[in-house]
Amino acid sequence: MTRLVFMERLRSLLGTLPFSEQQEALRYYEEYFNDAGPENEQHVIEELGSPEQVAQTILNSNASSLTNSSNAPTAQTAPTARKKTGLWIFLACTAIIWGPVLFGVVITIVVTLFAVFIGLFAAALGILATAVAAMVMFFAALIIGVPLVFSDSLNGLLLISMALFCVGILLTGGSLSWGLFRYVIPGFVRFCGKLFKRFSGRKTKKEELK
Amino acid sequence: MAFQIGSALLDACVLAVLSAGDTYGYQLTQQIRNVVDVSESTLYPVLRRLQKDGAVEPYDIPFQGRNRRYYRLTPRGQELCAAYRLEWVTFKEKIDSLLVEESE
Repeated sequence: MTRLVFMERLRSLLGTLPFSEQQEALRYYEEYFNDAGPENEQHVIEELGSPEQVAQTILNSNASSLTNSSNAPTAQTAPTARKKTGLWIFLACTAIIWGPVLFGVVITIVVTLFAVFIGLFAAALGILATAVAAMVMFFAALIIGVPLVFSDSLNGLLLISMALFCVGILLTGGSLSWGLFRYVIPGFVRFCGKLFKRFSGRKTKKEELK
Repeated sequence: MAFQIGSALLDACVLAVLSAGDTYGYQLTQQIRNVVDVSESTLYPVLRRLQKDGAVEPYDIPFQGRNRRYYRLTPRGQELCAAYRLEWVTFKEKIDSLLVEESE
């Protein structure tokens, strides 16, 4: 048997274990082979026995660690360890039941927040563009309108009034988009950040409990 | 060997080897196998259990383009090791009193 065959069979035999436990064990034995060196490969395989034996020792110890995880001399170790495993099982069950629902909810919230952000940004940009256009028109109307007052006073005054109209748009739009960029969007981003921090903060606390 | 090494004793041996210095799985196995006759596959579950009990923690060190996983004792592991050493001394004395012939 080669190392590859050995590891592949071990992988399939550990299929009932939690994924992290599987990875941990496989990693250990991969490394074990690496450290033994290719020249000792056959020797290691012989010493380890069959993949079935190796898998059995891992599965046995995993099963017994759920019931009594420690035979240490200090008395207080066993109860805390058992409590921890109980909590872990509880958390795992909760995660399995609520996982898909929670996933949907989280995705919905994230997408909604992102859509609001894009909407706000687009609105602010649109208003800003209008204000800039109004400014250009203001100068254009003024430059053409003022000299025109002397030759064609009615059209000249019309252009000047249009320029003043543009000033109105410029002031309203400018301040509106400035407010959006300066206060509303950063405020919204901060709000999202806080929301995310709170969510992930609770998550890490849960992980600590494990 | 006529005497079997139990899981508590194996825990104690692993903790004692690690208290002398951090090491990685293969080396740890060889060190223990130099002294007691255990199968190469028994050490992984021991290490994993000690890890779960918070007595041992792994860390990675790059070695020849890969990561090699070393293990070290946590403060809790050091306590545990000291407790095992104490227990071993009393255990050994008791067995000695039964087993070993008094020499003049």
